[in-house]
Amino acid sequence: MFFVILVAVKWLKTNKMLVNLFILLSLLGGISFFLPKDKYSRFFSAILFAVTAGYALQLVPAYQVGAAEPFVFHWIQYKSLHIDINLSANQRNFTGLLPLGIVLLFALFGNIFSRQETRRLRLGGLMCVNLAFLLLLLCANNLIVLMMSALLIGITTLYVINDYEAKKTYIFYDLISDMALFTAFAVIYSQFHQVELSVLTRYAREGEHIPLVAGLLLLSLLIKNGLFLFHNQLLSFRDLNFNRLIFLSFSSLPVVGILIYEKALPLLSAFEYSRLIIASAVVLSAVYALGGTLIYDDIKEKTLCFNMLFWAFLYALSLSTPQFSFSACFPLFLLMLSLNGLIHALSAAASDEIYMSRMGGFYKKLWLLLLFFIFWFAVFSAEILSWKTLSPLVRFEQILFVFAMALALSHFLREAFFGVTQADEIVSARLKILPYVDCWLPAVLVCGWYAFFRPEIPFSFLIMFAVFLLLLVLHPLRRLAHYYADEELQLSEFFKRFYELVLLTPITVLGRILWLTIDFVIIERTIINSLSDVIKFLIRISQKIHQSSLLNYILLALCGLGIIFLYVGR
Amino acid sequence: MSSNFYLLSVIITLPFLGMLFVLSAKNDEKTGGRNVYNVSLFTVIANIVLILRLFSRLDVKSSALQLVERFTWLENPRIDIVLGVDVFSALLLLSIHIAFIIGFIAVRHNRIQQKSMMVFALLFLSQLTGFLVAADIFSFYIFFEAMLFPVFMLIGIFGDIRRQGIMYRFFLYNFLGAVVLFLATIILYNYQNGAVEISKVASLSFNGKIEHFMWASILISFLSRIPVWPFHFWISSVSSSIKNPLVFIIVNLIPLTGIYGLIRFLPQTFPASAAFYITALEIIGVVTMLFIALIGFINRDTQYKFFSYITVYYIMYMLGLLSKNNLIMLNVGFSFFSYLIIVAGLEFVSSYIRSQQEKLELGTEGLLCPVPRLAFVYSFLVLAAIGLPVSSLFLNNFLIISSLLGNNFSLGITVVCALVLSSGALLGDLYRLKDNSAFCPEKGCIMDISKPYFFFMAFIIFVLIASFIRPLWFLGM
Repeated sequence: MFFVILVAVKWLKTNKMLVNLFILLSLLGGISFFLPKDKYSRFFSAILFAVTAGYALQLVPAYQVGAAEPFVFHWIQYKSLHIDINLSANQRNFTGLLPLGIVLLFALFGNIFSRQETRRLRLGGLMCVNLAFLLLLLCANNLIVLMMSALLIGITTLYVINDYEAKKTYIFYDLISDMALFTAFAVIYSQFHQVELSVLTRYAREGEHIPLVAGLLLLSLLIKNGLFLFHNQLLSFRDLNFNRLIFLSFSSLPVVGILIYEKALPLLSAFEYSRLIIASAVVLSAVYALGGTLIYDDIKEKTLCFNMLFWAFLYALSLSTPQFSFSACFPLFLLMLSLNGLIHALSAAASDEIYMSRMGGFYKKLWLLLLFFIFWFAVFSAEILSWKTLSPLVRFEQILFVFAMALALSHFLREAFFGVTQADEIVSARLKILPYVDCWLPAVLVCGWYAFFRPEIPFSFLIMFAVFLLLLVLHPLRRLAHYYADEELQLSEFFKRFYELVLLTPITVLGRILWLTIDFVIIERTIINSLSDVIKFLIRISQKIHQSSLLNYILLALCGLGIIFLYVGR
Repeated sequence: MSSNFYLLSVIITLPFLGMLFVLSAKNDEKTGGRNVYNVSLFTVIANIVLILRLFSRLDVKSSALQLVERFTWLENPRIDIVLGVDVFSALLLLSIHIAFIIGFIAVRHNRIQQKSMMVFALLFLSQLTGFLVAADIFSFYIFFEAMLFPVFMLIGIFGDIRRQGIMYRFFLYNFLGAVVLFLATIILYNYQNGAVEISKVASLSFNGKIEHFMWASILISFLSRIPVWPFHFWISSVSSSIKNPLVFIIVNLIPLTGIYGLIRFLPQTFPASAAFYITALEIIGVVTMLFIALIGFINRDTQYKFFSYITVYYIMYMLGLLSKNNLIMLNVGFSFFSYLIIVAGLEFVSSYIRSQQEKLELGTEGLLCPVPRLAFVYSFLVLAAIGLPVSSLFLNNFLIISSLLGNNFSLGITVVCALVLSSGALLGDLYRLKDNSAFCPEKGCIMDISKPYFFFMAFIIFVLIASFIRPLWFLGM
């Protein structure tokens, strides 16, 4: 393996930077697939991390100097269709890649130490391949590559999910999302026979079915981002271990959704109801996510709701800023990743306990972790509130988002760290100050990085931080804790049942009716049986005619004569 | 290779010769049918080598018939047999042969009527190959009808308890198709005073009523093979009653002959008199597609779900080819290439699961949980089948659907809905088999596929992925 990697890296050095990265990641993914499943899996995972981190470090100088290397691979050359894969290294692509690369390193690092992971090496390989596809998506300059990479990320996500129920829920949502994207692009291509991304702008001006295409795109993107009404697939990730959950939340479909959204904005803005649909989805998602962070007992579900709140905020930002760019939000993206890491650290410190109702009173032993959480909130709120914005609307959204996070996080911290402990005696006894370095170290490094480079602290930050501390002390929503025992609420299967009732039941009933009426009644019982009866009838007549009686001879002779006369008559 | 080497004739003849070898084999009891099996497999592999050779002699950029071979069959009345091939038919030839290999591997351990199965399978392959390279109406008609005989026999031998009724339906529908195509062939012959090349049929002029009658006959004969309403019924009955994977694959190649007939008889500029029929065909096609997709979605029988998927795709290809877009034909060919292999692969895996399940008397839920190799192959094939970017279906389906949307928007949207339903049906079935909540190891587990089988399927997966990266990868293009 060493040899293969070394040869590959040496060979790759002669080529272009992002192409190298793409090949390296694909190669690492491929190799890890063929390595033994369990033997030395930590060791190989460490190599995977080291190679990826090593190459990432090589890219840093190029990123700093803003290196530009054009690279275009002519993939398909049909008569009517030319598809190029563009992997040019430029500032835009580097900036987009940076946070995603950090997520990968974060996840690969966690994968080395993860105690719950049973398929460590396979997961590491999938993570690398996933980033290779994300790279394609980032650099995509035509509809086909954009769609292809989104669909391929959908496949890697499917394999990263290792829980049956989560997989089952995910695959059907993803199918609908992919088919919506596929149809939207097919409609665009059918009109202009052009696949370059610029066709989206052209379609916004001259398109024949703008409402349909924009609607399909929005459907696809809202599903990918797991916003309200389509959140079930993302919430089903609660059954995965933390490392997989965090990786999927920040490196799979939600990121795909937001990246495609950014590229499709010119077209979406041409549809008059786009803003209304997105705004409704944002408001409902934010309310749902905030409720989830307060009410759900499972801290993985809480984590997913924190993430949902973040994605809703990004969509809200996109509505208020004229030039929305995902890469401009990457500090926030990495800070959310850090929050996930800290929650993971809390769970790991409590012997992998995931239920809030079985925590409490952890501050005595986990006081350092509590400080990290508070430090995280300080960096997070300072980061958001210091954004220079042109629009007062954005300012309002920023404050609202920080307040929602303060409310949710303070509630979370109060439940976990203070009050009477509900934890098992063994869990309480095993609590350590900072047990697992893989969970908290990357998170703290990210926070530290932003804290160190923060030039100024806005006044609004001080107010918000004071509000946060006040909420932490007062714990105004303490009564919500009794919902932890509400089984119906915790299972959150309402939307599953809703879709079964609204979508699946009508299809099933219609299918059964059609099957019974058309296949059985019309074809089997009417057409085929009638034909069968007619043939039987003819056979009976024929048998009767051929019986040896004088009358039959005469009848046959008359028939023959009749035909002769008919023929002669013509 | 010199131009007088009759490559197409050899490709038709080789399976027939293989069949004669198999037929002449003694009862083969000592080897448990191994001789018969090996000869059959070798025949198909040899033919694949010849097809690859054929590809190397084709100009893939040309859409015209190439490597044309002419034989005079009769002087008076004058009947010439003309054979020819283009990239589209060559792709079909290759994928059909690969599908046959998959079918052969799937019945490797079959001990029941092995010899009869191989004889009729090779006979069918020879006739189907002949049909795909036929360039005149006579040879086309002969091969078109002749291939029904081995299928009829195979259904008779390998059908389940309902086979009598199914054979009756099979005969009824196909007899109707045979009679009307025979009439159309006679009319064409009479008008031309000799055999006609298929590509010229659309440019012939007839008097009004005759022209209507002829086109109606041609369309009905092809429709009798394509699972459009009400003709779908015989294929659906056969599909759900056949448990033998090779026979299932063969039966599901019959609709291909109908589609191929339409392609050959209705080239890009079909006559005005056929326009009415084309519109009717589009309406019937799209309604059937949605209807079958709906039934496939609710039906719990895996074979029916496959039939539903197969139907939806065949009709999509048919509608794509009717969309008057000259450029779509090659895309349909590229898509067909993967599609036929995927269907054969799915049937291979599904028949393996079914046989294991029947042996151990297990339910279907959770069967794939303890068998990672099988689960991987099945999952991959389902993902490829629903058009994800792991085979040539992805890009070419995109172009076909774009063409449909461009031609008739509502029709295109309905096709997409049917695709979603049939994909949902396949995924639903896959996740029923993977349901670990229903998996109970105490009841018994099915065995995973052996390593040789797995490597064979891995090769098939490689072929599919290669077709995604480059549709003509085996030519380095």
